[in-house]
Order: sequence, then C-alpha cells, then structure tokens
Amino acid sequence: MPRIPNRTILNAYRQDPLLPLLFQECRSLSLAKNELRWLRDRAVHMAQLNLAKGAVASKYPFHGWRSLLRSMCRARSRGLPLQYILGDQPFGNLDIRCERGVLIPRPETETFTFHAADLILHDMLNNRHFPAEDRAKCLRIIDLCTGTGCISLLLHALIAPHVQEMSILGVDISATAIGLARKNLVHNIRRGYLSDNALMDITFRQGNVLDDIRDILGSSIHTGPPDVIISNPPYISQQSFGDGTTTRSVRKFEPRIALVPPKDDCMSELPLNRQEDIFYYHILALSFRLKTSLVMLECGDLSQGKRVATLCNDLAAEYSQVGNLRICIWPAADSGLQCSEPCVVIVQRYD
Amino acid sequence: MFRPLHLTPYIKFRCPFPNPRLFTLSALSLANKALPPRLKIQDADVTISYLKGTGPGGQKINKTNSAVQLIHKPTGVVVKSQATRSRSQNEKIARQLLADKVEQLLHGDQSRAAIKADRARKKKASKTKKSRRKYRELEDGNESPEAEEDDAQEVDHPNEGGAVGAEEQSPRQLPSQQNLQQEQK
Repeated sequence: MPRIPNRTILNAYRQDPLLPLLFQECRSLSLAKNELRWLRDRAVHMAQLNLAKGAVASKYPFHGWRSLLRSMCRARSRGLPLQYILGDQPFGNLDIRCERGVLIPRPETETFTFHAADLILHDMLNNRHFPAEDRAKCLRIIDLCTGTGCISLLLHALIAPHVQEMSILGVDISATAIGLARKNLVHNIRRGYLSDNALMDITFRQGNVLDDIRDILGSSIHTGPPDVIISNPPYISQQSFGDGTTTRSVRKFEPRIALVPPKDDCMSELPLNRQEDIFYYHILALSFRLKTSLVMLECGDLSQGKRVATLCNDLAAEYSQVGNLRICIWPAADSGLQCSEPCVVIVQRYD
Repeated sequence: MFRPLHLTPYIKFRCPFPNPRLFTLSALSLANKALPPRLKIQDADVTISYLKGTGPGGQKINKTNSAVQLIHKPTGVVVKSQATRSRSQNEKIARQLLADKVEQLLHGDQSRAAIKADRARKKKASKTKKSRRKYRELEDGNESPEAEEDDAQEVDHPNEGGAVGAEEQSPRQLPSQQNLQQEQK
C-alpha cells in the first residue's frame, strides 16, 4: 500500500480534523470526505433520535453527535467496515441491515443480481423454450450462501411484479446470517421496499451447501426442482486471503467462513485442483442433478470464472447433458473487464 | 380593522404598533410559468461505468465508493455522481445531471437549467432592488416621520405614534446606513 504524503494528510486536517482518521482506511481524499459526510449525517440523526427518546441506551456512549462522530471515525480508522458502523447498506432499492459476523453485500453482487433478474424476466419467461403452461406455474429460485439475504430480497423486488407466483429459498450455513436475513426481510417489508407477499414467498433455512444440501431442498417448501440457482459462495483462496490482496478491513472484521472455502479432506476425490473452487463443484453438481434452467455463480476474477466454466463443461459431459447448455461469463472479457474484477458464470439450459 | 377575530389572533385591536405590516407575495409572475420538460435521454446513448478502483474487487475488498459516471455518447458529455451510498440512487442523480447538461449544450439559453438560473437571478435582483428601496425609504422616513401617510391616518396621537415609530425604526438605521455606504462605494 503506497504511503500517503504528509502534505496530503495536513491538507485534509485543515479541511476537517477527522479526515486523517478516515484516511487510514479510505486512502483517498474524495472517498474520505464522502465517508465523513455519511458518518456525520448518521451521527446527527442518531443523536436526534436519542434526544427524542430520552434514552442513553446506545451502542456508543455519547453526549452529542460530535463525540459520537469522533468515536465512529476512530472505529473506522481501525478498519471497521463503514457498513458495520452505520448498520446498513443500500442494495438496489433495498436497505440491507449489516451486522458483525455476516458478509456485507458488495456492489458487484448488486450488478449481477440486476443482470440475473433481466435474464430471468426476458430470456426465461419470454422464451419459447420456456413453455406457456410453465409460466403460470410457480417460479422457484434457490439462493445458496445467502448471507444477509440481499440477493433473494432484491430478486423478489425485481421479479415479483412480473410473475404470478414465485418462491425463493435462501440457504446459509451460519445461524447469525439466517437470523439477519429474516430480519432484513421484515425490515424491508416494513419500509415498503418489498411487497407483503415477500413474507410468504421468501424462506431462509440453515444448511451446509457442501454437505447436506439435498436434505434441505427435500424438506423445503419447494414442490418441485428449482428453476434458478444463484449463488455468491466464498471464493477467496487461502493464499490470496493472506498475501495482501484481501484488505485489512475485510480480513479483520468480516467472517472468514463467508470468504474462504473450508479445507476439505476429500478434495483429492473431486476433479478439482483448486480448493477455492470447491463450492462451485457442489453447486454445479446439484444443478445438473436437478436440471435447473439457469445457474448464476459469482466468481472472484476472470481466471476463476474460466476455471468454473471448464468445470461446468466437464460436469456436463459426466452427466451427459452437453447439447442443450449455454455457458458464458458475464461481463464478457472484451468489454473492458479487468482480469482481477469479479465476474459471473451463467449456465442456461434449453430443454 | 374589521377582519374577523380568528384570522388575526396575534393582532390586538389596540395595537401598540401604529401600522401592522401587510405582507405581499412577490415574483409570482416569474415562478408560475412552467419550465420546459426535462430532456429524455435514451439508454442506448449512455455509457455507464461504476468507477471501480483498480485491482481486485468483490469479496476481497469492501468498497464504500459507489460513484457512477455516465457518458453521453453523441455529445461526449461526462457526468459523475457520488452523493449517496446507493448506486441506484447515484445513477438517478447522474442521469438528471446529464439530462440538464446535454440540454444546455443543445438548447443554450432556452434550456431548462438556463431558464431556471435566469429566473433565480431575476428574483434575486428584484429582491435586492426592493430591499434597497425599502432602506432608502426608511432613511427618508427618519428625516421626516410625518411624511408617512399610514401613521397620520391611523394613529390618534401623532406625537406618541411618531415616538413609537422612531423606536421601531431605530434598529434598522444601522443596516440602512451600511447599505448606503455600500452603494456609495
């Protein structure tokens, strides 16, 4: 990480004494200013709320918004993610609550979810491959490794107005995440960002994708196999978690279980040579067994995306379902995507 | 003086102030004319970039910067917004900015933004003009308080009324003098 010149820090201090604190995490003046503005807005808002309530029972002991803001900035300078300090993160039109122990939704995931909704609405529902009698049927979506539940909730917000019936199942291994996802569901309905049907349509369930995922699906509300599987699984390798490409804030404060796939003893039995791809193998195998019409998997970078696409081809041959598959990486490699930016592998099946 | 009571709860009939100030709305004629409609910009003409930082992203980095940059391809206008934490909100703001900018480029003085700015300028000019006139009148009124017609009509004892009026006006002397000095400069 390049050193910030003293002059820059001094200039920032002249603008606001709290800016140098934020510099430790933001590394750029415009971002530090933006974060300070957001933090200040929230501090003032919280102080007003506390004044109105007359209560002092808060996470931060404080007397006014200034001391609250200072303690927020100090927490931020130690690397605590802004979303954990503020407690929320906008995701599409939704407002997702964030808590320690659950991965914060990323803007890339937001973009991919919008693309997924586009694909589902335009390609699947209006396609002749998707027969008309099926359209009246329930659209079933499974969101594996759901975390805060952001993908499930945003998909419901985007798709529900256009289909008659849909059901979404979010699965995560962490009980904290499932609790938070349910909280988010209620929170967004209460704020009016989601329709009331969402409470019936979306379910969250605890389960291990690597292990007993079939049992969970078997006992779920889904009456048939899912039409769509979408997932943002942990995809950081052990090595890049440690070598500095993963930032301090993520390493120190976000749950490792949501970032790095666990070490698996039976790796040698699987046709994989990279341990970080293990989730993709299990999810793709599941999708081939259930004959899902659309699978979307977020990958860390282009090389991982290519590996997953190859893996998908291999599995298709193994399950002898090669002919009617279309596998692509989005955004396409020639559209200015940098190799190190996340991408999504899309597997579409035409029956 | 014959207004119904419920409409004037704060004005007593035996009013200590000689002339209750009547308020008038100004610049109505400027504001009520509808602005031209916003320019609709086709999605196909716009390139959206999310200004991701260089290097890896996704789970490895928790970015809080959700800046959105829009480029209007036919004119080459570039607009950026990072007002909020929400990307969709930023995009909305950027689209509005872009529409304004492109319109200004296309229509010049007849564009929405130009008309808005023009109206604001006119309003401000008339405001300053009015305040200048007011202070000038006050200044004149100080020298000859009996010249004010309202005072002479409504107040029974012109001497008392004049005294009260002078008291009321005295705090305004300072700004008026400053104003005059500014004008002289």
